[in-house]
Amino acid sequence: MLDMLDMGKYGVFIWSSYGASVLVIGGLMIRILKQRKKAKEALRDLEQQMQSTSPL
Amino acid sequence: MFSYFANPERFQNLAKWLAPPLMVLGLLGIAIGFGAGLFVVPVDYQQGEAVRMMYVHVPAAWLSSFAYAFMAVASLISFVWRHNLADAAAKAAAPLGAAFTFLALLTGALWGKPMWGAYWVWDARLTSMLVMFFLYLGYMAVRTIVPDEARAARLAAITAMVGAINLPIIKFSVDWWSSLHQSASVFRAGGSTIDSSMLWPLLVGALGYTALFGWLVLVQMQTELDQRHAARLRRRLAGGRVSRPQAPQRSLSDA
Repeated sequence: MLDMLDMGKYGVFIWSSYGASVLVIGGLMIRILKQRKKAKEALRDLEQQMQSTSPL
Repeated sequence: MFSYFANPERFQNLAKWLAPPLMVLGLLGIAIGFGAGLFVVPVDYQQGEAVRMMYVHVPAAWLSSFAYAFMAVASLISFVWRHNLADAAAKAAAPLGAAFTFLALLTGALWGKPMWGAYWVWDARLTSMLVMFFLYLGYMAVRTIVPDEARAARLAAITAMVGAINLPIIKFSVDWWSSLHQSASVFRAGGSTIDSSMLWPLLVGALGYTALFGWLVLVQMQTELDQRHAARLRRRLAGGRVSRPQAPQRSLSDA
């Protein structure tokens, strides 16, 4: 198993480039999904507020 | 076709249907591409283990140009036809494109150090990619700094369209100027020069990156539409009047 993880003299470069990619892609996903949730909740609150103030 | 999808409700339905498969395809493609790149692909006869960095560098670099082309076309549609959804698409693509350009530059530097002996050289390919990174940042800055949303959209669209001139420069930089960067080895006349045992994880990974981009753009567009809708409701609550459903876009002449 450890043999597989050992990339020889290039190990540092390989693992840091894969690590950075996972971090950036994961970070993008988390950020975008969080914003989505926040926007959804804000809109729901506003719609409820609209209904209570002006029953059309 | 553009006007068909200009209806936000129709878009929301389409996004709901399209987002889950894109997410699965994206995550699966990336996982397979990374896994195979790290553990399956044979060691290159020249580069040794360092060839494994191709599977994080190349998909990020391809996607960063694709995202720019997407943003520029969406900007054109929004600029010419005042298409609100196209504007939301361009706005959603910008930070994603910037992130993937950053990744392409970073993984390129990490690949360059052991292969070329330098993290960075002011070479045409590297420099034109850096210019694209700044174009993305410029686009985002315009959208943040200009307070009027409609005017910000038009100025940003112009930025994106003008910057598209950089795309052929990036693509052909390795042919037009002498470069440390290798020339096209996948999409070239005469076919790929990469052996199929090394090529398939690259293509699967690139497909994964693209699907993930599509998914994230859709999710971000839905957020943008919700935020715009919320802003309209807020105005209505504050002023008690019904505002127009779409922000009027003013011409640049009053800038």
